[in-house]
Amino acid sequence: MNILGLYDEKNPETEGAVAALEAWARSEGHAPRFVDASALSLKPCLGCFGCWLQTPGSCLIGGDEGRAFVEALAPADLFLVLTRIPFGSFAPAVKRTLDRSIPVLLPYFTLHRGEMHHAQRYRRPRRLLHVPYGDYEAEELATFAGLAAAHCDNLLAPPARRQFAYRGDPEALVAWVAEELAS
Amino acid sequence: MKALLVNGSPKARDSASGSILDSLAAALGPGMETRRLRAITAKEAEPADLEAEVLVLAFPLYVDSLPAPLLEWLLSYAALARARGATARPAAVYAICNCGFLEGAQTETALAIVRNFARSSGLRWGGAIGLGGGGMFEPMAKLPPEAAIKRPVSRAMDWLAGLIRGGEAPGEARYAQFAFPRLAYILAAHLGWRRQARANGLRPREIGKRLA
Repeated sequence: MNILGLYDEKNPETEGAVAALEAWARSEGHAPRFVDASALSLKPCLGCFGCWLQTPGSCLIGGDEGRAFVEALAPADLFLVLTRIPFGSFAPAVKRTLDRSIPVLLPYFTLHRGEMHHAQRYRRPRRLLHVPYGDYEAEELATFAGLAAAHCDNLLAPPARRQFAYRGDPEALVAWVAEELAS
Repeated sequence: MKALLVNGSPKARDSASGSILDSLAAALGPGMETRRLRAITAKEAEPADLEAEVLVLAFPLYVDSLPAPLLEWLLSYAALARARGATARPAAVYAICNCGFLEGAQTETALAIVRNFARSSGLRWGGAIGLGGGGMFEPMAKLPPEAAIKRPVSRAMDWLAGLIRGGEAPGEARYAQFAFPRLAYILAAHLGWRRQARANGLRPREIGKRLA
């Protein structure tokens, strides 16, 4: 399984989580790759739709790691997002990266769970798992749960069966990921 | 009363959010002293931004939430507001999120994020509208507000403008979209994408190109 992880920045919490996930993935014979969003220093998406209508599948913005990230996301079977959740959102560096990831979508619409969503450029079945961490209010966590579900819908992926919040216990995190993949 | 109107769209021109703020500014009337800024060019909030008694955020839905530059601007605003401390009359925050999907309700999570920003910054959560059919704002701009196709959106805008003018902050979110069949919207959008691709020198089937 091709596993791509995205986390907001290097700190003791993310380093512990990433180390545990990498070790678990390798032990299971998977190919993991974890990306520090803050190190990508991406320019923001400009909403130009060039990645849909000028250079399909590839962002027009060059000079940063945005295109390389999309190339890593396209073949991923599992996409893990580990992030602080200010206001219930993704952290800014993660959000910049996700905004720049829309080349994996097509401009065309499809219906999914009764709502309009974009069709996928890559028809690969993909799982998404979202891992909030850090300090937050209960309302922020509830909002993020809705955001995670919406993000799964955005990529036409099934939602997680159970929400998980990382509190510094790598074993619990790995157990949850394994449980979700088995479901 | 001073209002700061923040355009959260990263687009330099022809953004639906800009068009929405134009309409809102007109509806607020001369009694409201408005100032505009774009989050992507401002990058961070400045102390002067905290002087506005009304903060209006208009933005497109990007990956189910706020465009990154607007999120970054809000974080800087929240940091300034927390450093300043409580005030006798905190600013009221209002939001207008538009999305390219026809269902305005798809903006619910994005508006909840703005609500959380307001609360954690010690501001009043005024209210919000989530508007679907973002691709129709520009083509429909010249239609009168009472045109049947536009009426649900116009009413939502009127409701929000009324709240702002009256200084009300019920913290309610409402959703609306153009009165247009979803299937027809999808077909029109697909035709539009193909037309734009052709104008860019592509064959329509190239839109679906996959990287090796």
